[in-house]
Amino acid sequence: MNANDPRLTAYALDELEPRERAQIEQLLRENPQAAGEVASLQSLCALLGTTLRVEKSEPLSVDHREAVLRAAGMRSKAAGNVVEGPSWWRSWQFAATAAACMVFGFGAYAIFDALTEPRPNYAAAQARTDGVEIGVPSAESAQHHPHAVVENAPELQLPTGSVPTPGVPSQSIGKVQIASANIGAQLQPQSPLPELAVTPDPAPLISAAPMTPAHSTVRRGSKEPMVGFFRPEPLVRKQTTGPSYDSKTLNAAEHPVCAVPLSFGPSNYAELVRIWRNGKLPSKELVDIHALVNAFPYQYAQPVGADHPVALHVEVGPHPLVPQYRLLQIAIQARAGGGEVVARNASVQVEFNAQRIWSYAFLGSNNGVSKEVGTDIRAGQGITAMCVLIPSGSDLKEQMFKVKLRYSSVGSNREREIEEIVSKSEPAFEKCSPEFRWASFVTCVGWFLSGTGEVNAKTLGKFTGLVGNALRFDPDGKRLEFVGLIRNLKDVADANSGGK
Amino acid sequence: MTLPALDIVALMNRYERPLVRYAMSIVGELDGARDVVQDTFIKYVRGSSDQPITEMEGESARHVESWLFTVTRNGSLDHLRKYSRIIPMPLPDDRRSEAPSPDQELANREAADWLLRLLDELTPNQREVIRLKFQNDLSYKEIADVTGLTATNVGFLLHVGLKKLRELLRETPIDSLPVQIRAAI
Repeated sequence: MNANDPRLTAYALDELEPRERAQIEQLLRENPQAAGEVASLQSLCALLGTTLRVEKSEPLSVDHREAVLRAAGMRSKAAGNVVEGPSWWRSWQFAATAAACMVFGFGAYAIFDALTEPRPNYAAAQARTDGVEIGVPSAESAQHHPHAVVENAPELQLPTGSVPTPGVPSQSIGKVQIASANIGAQLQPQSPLPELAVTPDPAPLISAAPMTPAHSTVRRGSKEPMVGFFRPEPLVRKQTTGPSYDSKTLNAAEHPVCAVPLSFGPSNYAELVRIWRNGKLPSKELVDIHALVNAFPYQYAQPVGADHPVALHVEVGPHPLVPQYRLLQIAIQARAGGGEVVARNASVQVEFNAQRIWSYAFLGSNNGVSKEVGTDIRAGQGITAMCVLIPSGSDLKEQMFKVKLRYSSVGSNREREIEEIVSKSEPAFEKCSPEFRWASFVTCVGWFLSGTGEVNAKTLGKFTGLVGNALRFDPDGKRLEFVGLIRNLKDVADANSGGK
Repeated sequence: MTLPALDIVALMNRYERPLVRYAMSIVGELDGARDVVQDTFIKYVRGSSDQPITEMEGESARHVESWLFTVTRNGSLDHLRKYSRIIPMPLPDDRRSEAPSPDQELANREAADWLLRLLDELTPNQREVIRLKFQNDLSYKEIADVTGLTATNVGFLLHVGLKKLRELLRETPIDSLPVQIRAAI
């Protein structure tokens, strides 16, 4: 066998039958050169497997989808629309089918209507004047996030309230949305119906929000809060029901002890991505940096030994924007298992040494000064919190801070504690762990999306350099997708600005 | 059971993007690719199996997937033949990559862009099997079904294509490669 044997590639791609596979494995044990070749091919295949999937791919247009639906509808009608299955499925399916036809049909009509003379159609007129986007919650987000969109048909603009559509029994938009969600096979028919809600149009791409200077001066001895860095000028935005986040910078001398935010809002990552893909920016209230950072899986080390079911990870590295600042990453990782609770009432607390740390700001939270509520940690669960540290400038070598993870053992209810003392920071991103680098990158994107920090569409791209080797761990491909979106956003921004 | 609209929407949601992307790689323009994929779905609803796509798993779903790619491929080639008589279009052999990213510096740091550009250095059939394998996760046999090649030919094309791709990457100054590519070669 030589390096040109196609069986090596077939082996690397797991395409061989067991017997032939065993033969190759025997040969590889005897031939280090061939083994090296296979390893190289496997590495390239892994790269291609994750990379090529992010190539920009377009959906069908509304007209194309409509043509397909018409073809499907005609066949269904011609066949008598025989629907079989359990009663709940029949009713669900009927409603979903009718709703799907109504949604897509209406969407096509609304677009057609917009291109022709105005007609006295209540729904279409409302769609244009209200400009309100109705969404379909995914199965995951539906329980928590009322705002989402019709998947793969984001161009649909529907009015609030019921839509009077000829031939379709009066239904609330909510049922329409649920039916559409089921079309995507994301909601089970027996799932409870989530509440329907409406989100305003996302803000236009590239908000002109003026940012305050990022380079605040570190002043020793003063307790004056370091305002400015995380506070953009107020934006005038449409009213929204989304949460508001504001990372307050706290003085370590005044607030030496801080509870680390472990809980965060439900991930609306998919919604953010969808809005982004459509060439807009989500309204900043939709962006919770803490939740965004936690939208990705991380590869933290598992707990060592049987003593604790959870591990505490703490890392301090550079701040991506301000050389004098630092980023702190605190993560807890529960041992993998069946998803059961492994630690009850968990909380993490940081005790800052004001001689080393001037001030700090946990991102996407009310910054720990609120009363801490313990969180149950489930097997396999990982939680990441990011915090900006503003050092005092001291040359002291003593500890910067102490982190304590407390929880109650399941069963015995015994109080347990893991403590870590941190005295130094990595000087450069190259020295930081991939997980720290990824979280830093996401944080930068979060700053941009939420209109905080000095990150704009022009400079956002350079922060992809933070990613480094963090793409090696990307089990669901989301990291690579996210990096690809940065470029997409930059392109759209360039197009909007006329290439300037 | 008939095929309700519900299922065709699920099918479109699941496959429209991969199919449009695949058709784009053959016909070279979005509108034409969408036309081809629309026809594929219409052919499906007019002659589909009775099993709803939402209930399909394993082999059934893979069969549908192969069928969709096969029909899309045939439709794309038909489209190419049809319109190349009217409007001179570069054949896949001659087709070059899309214009480089406006932000070349950023593009150079992204492995996806690098690899997609390098793919254009391969022959069309090498490119096609690599796309089907790594973008759509089809097996040798499924790629053979879609392309009409034998599984042995598919394996050979993948082998040669991957080695060529690796050669191209190794010829590139290491410093100019994205970090994730450096690690892979």
